[in-house]
Amino acid sequence: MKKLLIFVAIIAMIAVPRVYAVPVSGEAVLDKMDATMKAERKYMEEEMVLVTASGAERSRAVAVWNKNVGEEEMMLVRFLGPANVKGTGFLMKNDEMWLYLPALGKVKRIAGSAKQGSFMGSDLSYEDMEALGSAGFSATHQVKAFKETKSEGTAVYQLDLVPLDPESSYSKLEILVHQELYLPLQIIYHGRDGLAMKKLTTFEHQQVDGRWVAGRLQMEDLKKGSKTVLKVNKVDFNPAVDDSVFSTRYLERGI
Amino acid sequence: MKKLVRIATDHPRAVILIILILTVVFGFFATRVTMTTDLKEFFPQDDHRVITYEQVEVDFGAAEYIMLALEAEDLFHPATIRSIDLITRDLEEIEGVATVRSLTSVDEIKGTEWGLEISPLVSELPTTPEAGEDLREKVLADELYSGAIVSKDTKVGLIIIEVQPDADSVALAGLITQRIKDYSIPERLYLTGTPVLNNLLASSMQKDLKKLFPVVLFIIALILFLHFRDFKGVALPFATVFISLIWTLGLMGLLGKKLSPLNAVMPIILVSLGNAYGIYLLNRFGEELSRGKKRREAVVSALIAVGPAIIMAGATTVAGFASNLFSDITLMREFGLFTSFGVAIAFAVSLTFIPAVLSLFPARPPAHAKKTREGKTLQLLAGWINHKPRSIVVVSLLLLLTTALGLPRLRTDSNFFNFFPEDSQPKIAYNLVKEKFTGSESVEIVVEGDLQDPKLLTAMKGFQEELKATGIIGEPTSLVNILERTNQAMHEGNPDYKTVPDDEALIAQYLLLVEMSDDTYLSKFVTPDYRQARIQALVKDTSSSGTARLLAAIEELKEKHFSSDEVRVTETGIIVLIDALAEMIIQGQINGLIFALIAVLLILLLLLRSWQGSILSVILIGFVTIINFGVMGWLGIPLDIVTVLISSIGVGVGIDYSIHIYSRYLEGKRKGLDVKEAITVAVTGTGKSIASNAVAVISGFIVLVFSTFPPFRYFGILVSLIMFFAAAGALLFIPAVTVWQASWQRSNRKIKLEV
Repeated sequence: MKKLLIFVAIIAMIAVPRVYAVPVSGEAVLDKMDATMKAERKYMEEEMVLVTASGAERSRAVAVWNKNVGEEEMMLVRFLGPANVKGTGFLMKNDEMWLYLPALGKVKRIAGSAKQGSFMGSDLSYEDMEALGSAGFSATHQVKAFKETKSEGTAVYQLDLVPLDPESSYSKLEILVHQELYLPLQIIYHGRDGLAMKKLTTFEHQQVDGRWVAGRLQMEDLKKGSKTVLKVNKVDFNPAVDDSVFSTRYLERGI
Repeated sequence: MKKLVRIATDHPRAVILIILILTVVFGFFATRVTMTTDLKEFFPQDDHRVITYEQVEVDFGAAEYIMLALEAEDLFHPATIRSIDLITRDLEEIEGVATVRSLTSVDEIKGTEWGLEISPLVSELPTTPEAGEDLREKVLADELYSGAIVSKDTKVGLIIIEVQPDADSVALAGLITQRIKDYSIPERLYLTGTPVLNNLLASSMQKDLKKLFPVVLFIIALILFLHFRDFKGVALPFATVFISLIWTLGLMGLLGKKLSPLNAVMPIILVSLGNAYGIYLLNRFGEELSRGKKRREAVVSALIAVGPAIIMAGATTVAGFASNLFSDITLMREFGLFTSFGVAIAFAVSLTFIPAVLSLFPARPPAHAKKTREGKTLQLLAGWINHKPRSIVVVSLLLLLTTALGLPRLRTDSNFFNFFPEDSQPKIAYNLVKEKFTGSESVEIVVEGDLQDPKLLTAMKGFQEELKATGIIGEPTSLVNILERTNQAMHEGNPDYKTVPDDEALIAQYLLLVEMSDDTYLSKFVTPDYRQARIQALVKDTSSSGTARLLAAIEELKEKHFSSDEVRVTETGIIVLIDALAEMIIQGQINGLIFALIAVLLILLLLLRSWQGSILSVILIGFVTIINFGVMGWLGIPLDIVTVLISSIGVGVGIDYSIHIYSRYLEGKRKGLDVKEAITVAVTGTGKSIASNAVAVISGFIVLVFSTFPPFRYFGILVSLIMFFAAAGALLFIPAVTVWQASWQRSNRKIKLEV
């Protein structure tokens, strides 16, 4: 009997630590993922290609400046192409939005309610852009489920997040996080009705300034059948810009 | 023939058992058959008009609408506006509804002192009469709302429910019809729009047929009983008809096909026509019995005598219905397929099942085989034919000529709206919307090209304005209106700027601005690649001629405004589909008739083996067809998706009478009778069957006169009419021509001899 107990104890010593070998929690993974993607300041050049359900395409190139310190969120978007919208600028300061139209030579405000909708008619909403671009997920979401699994041969953490904001368009986000890179490989956004609504997939993971970033993101609208591909052409995590960039006066200067 | 006869009479039990087992199997599949009224199912799946229509649904969100009109003393009373808002929000919750457009839900582009806002026209519901007045003034001044969602007299408001592309619009219409009954509001509600009409059409048609079908059965049973005066005479033809009906519905279920407004009359057709084969057989069986033959012997000789005629009659009827296979209209093809199948089964069962049953059960000679009144009438008729053949032919031709003069007046109409009587609820709603608003059905015009190009946008503007000026459509909405309003808003609301800017960059930037402000607003009017835009307008006159005028105007203005090769303009919408249907009806009708006449001629040549009889029969049926269309022209009955079926019935069924008469005539000639004697035997002998069959068929179809649907009524009247002419033609015209021709040949011969 004693021998058996010792045997069990040994087995337990070998086996149990294995179970507890995952030192991470869902929250920790989320924080680490945010830390990888988030930055107080960030500059990106991207190409945004929208493909409709029937296959029609539209492409726009933009330069984006982000600043995210504390409660303050700022974003400036400058259109680089196509030619007819080149120089158009968009500024978002917390809940206020402005647009500068070079052909009109004027800055105009856009009603804040527009923030509920999609970003520039793409399959990404302002909410998605904010979370992916600079603000991260941990401050605005709660982890409901967490497990380790594999996705197409890659070890991943699977997280179920629930938005804290009751006004959010989503009821749940299912994220697969790469275990080494701490980048999201896939996010499935569930609508208020609980059904899968959109799917984000990331590709071309690469290191920039010692941080891992996705070189290409694709958001699919599962209901409409359309998709938006974001190609990241340039990322700078330490852009030398001061706060004056995020002003309507700067907006009016064009390129 | 003899072998076939032997099978039925030698193994009657096996034949009956096999038929009954098959009936049970088909009966199982028959329970799966459902009903459809989806207009798209009339078209082949690859029809370009359906493809364009579905493309508009996919690219711009919706192309099918349910219209709810709300009538009140004053639409701008705060309580009424609350009612509109309540209904709008309630309907938006229903699954399958894409959006609901109404006074309280439409968005407008607002230029504010600080920028641009796309927000609801009514952001806060007015609570005071003054606030209501302000709103009235604003709405009446704007052509996008006045006459479109609010009537000019501000007594009726329109709530436009857009159906999601993948939703079942007809089922949704049914759901909404029920839903609005629960609203406890003082305002009156009227529901219309194609899905609503289709829903109502399907349900009332089912009700109608459920009501009329038993009446048809009863009347035919009564006539059969009066004719045969025994139970078997009723039961056997009835069993035949039911077996064929069950098999046909079973085949539909097996192939996953649905009943449509078109083939909903099929049960009545099969019941009215299918019993004929049994009647001829039973009549002859009775004749043979009264000649003292034994039961089985009588069955065999009856089958041998009338079998070929029944096969001929059946085959020609099948050919008549099969002529619908030439239509481009999918549902007409299905109607053709299933009705010909049903008729084929009916005559096959008549030739197997009935003899099998007859050889099993005891029978006595019919009581009425002696001289009756109808027998005397036929005797009289035969005498008349033999004495005055020429006057019969002349009167027939005069009748033909008179009705033929109505042909130019014949018109087509494929509009579902006309299926409803003027005082019916949907027609009242439709007329109200038609009277108070710019229209109740939409036309969708898709412009393909570079939609950021000011030249194209200016062309669109010119096109829209001129199209509106024709008075056929209400205010069109498109990208042009959005850009004009954005431009005005960006210039402090200055009306001078309510124009499309002449600068491509500015247009592109405005589009970006609108997109940034509200992503869904633009997507209803332009695709994200700015290659396709939709101009949407409500159409007032949705009749065939109205639609024809609209399409002609669109065609003319297209030429004028969009001459560039890089621009493509296509129009679609329910009314365009309906118009296309009319065109398909005519083409299918012509092809089908030609096919039917040729097929019938070939069958007759093959089986009747008489040039004269075959050609004479086909000529008669051609005459009957002309009479049918001529009468429709005179009475103003349009050729629509129901009445279009009549001529195929006329050809397929009307020919039967000629076949029976001529077969009997040839039989007499073979037995050595001269022309006049043979005609007399044919008219008095077969005439009886023809008369009772015609009375049975006509009684079956005439019941449709009590239908609530005008097309069914017309259908009933016209089929009865052509059956009458076909029977009369077979009893009078064909014998008269035969007699006349024989005497003319004789006198010719005489002349030759004398010379």
